[in-house]
Amino acid sequence: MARSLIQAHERVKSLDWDLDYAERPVRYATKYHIPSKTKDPFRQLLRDFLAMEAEKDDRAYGGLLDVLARTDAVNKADPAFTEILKPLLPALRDGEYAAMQCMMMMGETVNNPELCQGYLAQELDEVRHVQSEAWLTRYYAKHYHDPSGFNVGAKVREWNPFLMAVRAGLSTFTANDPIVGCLNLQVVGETAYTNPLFVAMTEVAARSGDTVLPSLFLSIQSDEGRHMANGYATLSAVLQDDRNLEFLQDDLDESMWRQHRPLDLLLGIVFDYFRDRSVNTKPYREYWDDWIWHDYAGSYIGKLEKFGIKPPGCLPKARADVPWMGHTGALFLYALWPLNFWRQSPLPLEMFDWLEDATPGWYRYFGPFWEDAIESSDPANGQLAMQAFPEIPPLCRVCLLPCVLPRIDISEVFLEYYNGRNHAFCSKICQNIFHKDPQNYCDYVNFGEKFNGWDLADVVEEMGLIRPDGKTLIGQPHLNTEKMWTIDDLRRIGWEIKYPLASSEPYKFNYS
Amino acid sequence: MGSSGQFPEELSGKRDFDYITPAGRRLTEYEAVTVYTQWGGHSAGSLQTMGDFLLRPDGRPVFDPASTGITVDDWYTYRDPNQMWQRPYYVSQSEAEKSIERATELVVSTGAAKALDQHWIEHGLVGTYFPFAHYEYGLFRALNMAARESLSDSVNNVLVFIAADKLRHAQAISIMGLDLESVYENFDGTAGKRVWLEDAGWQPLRRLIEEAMTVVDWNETIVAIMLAIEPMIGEPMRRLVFGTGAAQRRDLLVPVAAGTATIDWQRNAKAIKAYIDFLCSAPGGEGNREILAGWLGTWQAKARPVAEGLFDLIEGALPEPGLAKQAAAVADEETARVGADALAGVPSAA
Repeated sequence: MARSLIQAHERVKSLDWDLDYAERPVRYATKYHIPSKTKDPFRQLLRDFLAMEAEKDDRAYGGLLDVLARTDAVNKADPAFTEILKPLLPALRDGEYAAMQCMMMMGETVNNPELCQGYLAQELDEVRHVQSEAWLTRYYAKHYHDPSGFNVGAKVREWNPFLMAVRAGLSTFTANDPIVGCLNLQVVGETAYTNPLFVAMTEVAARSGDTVLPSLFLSIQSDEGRHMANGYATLSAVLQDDRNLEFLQDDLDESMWRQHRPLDLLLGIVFDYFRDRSVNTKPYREYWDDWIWHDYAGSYIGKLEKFGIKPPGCLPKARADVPWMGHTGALFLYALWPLNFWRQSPLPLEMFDWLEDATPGWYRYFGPFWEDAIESSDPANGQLAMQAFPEIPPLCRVCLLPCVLPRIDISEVFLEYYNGRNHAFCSKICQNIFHKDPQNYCDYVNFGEKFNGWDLADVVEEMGLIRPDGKTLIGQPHLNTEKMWTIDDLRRIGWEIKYPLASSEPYKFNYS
Repeated sequence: MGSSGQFPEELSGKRDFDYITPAGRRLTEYEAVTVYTQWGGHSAGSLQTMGDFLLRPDGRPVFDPASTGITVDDWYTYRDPNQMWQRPYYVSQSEAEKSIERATELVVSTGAAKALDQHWIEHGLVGTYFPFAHYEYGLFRALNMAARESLSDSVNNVLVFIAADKLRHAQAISIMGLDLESVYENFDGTAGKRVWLEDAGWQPLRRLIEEAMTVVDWNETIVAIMLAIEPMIGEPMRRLVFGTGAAQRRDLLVPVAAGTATIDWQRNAKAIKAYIDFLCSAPGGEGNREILAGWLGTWQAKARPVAEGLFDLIEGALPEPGLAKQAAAVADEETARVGADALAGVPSAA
């Protein structure tokens, strides 16, 4: 039936009405003023949306269930890459779930039918992403030669320090003024970062021999374009009311920082360390320059300057940090290997030149650690890479990242005592964010506070990181099936977790 | 490249998610993609117990146990008996929409739409079916909020799809109004909104829906809509007025669209019946039955006169002798279908 999409869209927008008989409770308060009429981000009826998504599902799932399963595609990829999908897929799924919740809150809060239609479509998209990413995790569990990690990830990830930091960034989607959640999600998370996450990631996957991940990720990314349009429409709506300007810049700056910290760390690690090391590719910082610095900050945010919005003030610092933070993150991630539910290998010596070329000076700061890592990966040597760090570095109360970024020798840490607890901050930016609502960052305990004084072996058992034989660890510092570490190896070493900031007394010391 | 060499089986573990306890003998696809996808630092039954990294601006947890008076020890053990997840959902709902689209093409291309009498157009479509779009939309808004606040993924999942069903039906009605403008001269497909907003006979229903949209406890929202309003008003309307009533008046389109919504209702009633059973029998849920019964009594008492008034009104307008009586019978049937009968006779917590 031929009909005008514009007219049809106008009709469905008129389904809403102002309530006369009951007062709508303020479920999610916002300080922002959103005009009741704006431009449509895109015109999407459920009828068309359902047909489109069903078609996309047929293609994505069809390929996975048919040719990719029959050709054992999962096991043709470099395991260095496949292993990092064990934490990456649950982390992304957390983000999609939080995004779905954010859209529900936006639909309730924003009294603007044009925008709400977009939010509702996105809400359903996010359901699709949550469940398809869960489905993909199960697919890897069924087909990958080492399902351990894929099969327990959702359970054992709770106290993983790396994933805690990722989740902290994603929690900004739901635990905020909904418009601030939208800035974090749509305006920064989706507009700036889904291109590297879902487009460039598929390039890295394909170069690593993984043809499975791209089939689903590109299908997901085909939805993200609409989400970016939602973000731009929301931002445009916010800019229509001058009263919003006094807090918009500050909230945009904060959103950029909150997403930059975990996502650039995650992407830097994955892109530069967890791929087929025999295939040369460009380093993450070059992707970052393309997608974030030029496309996002230069083009997308640049267009907003006429409205008085400037690129987030933290971007120059982020740009300075990005070349190093992935390397530092990869080092710590490797050092923490007993706490992980994936395997990772020491850096092959052949990669050193590529890393030095990509980041001049790399060897000076990281080379010796990776040289030692080869030796410490053998349990017979009785050494843990973790022993290079007698204490857990301070963990930022806001972003949960260790205060060692971008590089240990140039990192900062700010300490303060609040409400009976010690708090560390990786930067003045995180400290300032904390001061806006300090009590809202104090609901949880971090990894160091939880396990201070524990034997590492007990921590590993508590986290459920043991394989079915009852002694071999899920996480391993190499990819071999021989010389795998067991809980007994950890007990022989007897390493105690130390986190001085866990003290309930004000702690004064110099971590540096 | 590649390392597909055999991995020792005693080390590799199960080739499935072994952290989910299946409701049946084997983990289903629905369970695998649904359960434990919601991170609830404060939700009973969550795998995560550490709290929230960031609380809401008002200091409440992201998933707040205080958002409902209902309690259970583990929200994550609820299972949708329909085993619905996104892929089959999109397939089935896309097919439903295609059936409406094809029916529309049929009635327009064959001239069947022109055979409708003016009385049905005026009282059946403009006077009843098109205002009903706003009823569906209101329920969508209310259920979407219930989904946001729900304390586990398996509950959220059911509510998201029910809410989407309501939106789908609301949009289908709106689009039908637009399509019929090309068939009839001077036909206004938007006139239903005026009825919804201004017609005195419809205001009790509008008031009821607005009250349901503003309920704070998300479980009370579920009871109000799925145990009282839908069985007593929504489904009798779909079956009797938009189904058989429309068909008797040679309307080939409305019964198709309404039929897809009835199929949704039947599927959703099954899920909600299982949910009410779950709330009444789950460990930690002592006292739930009384709370639910109290809410049900309140909302049935609100919905009953609205239903009676509305069906009397339509019975006279169409006219459709005996409609109000039939609607009451269908309401009884649907109330039983959704499991509200199980709460009958339970002393209210209030």
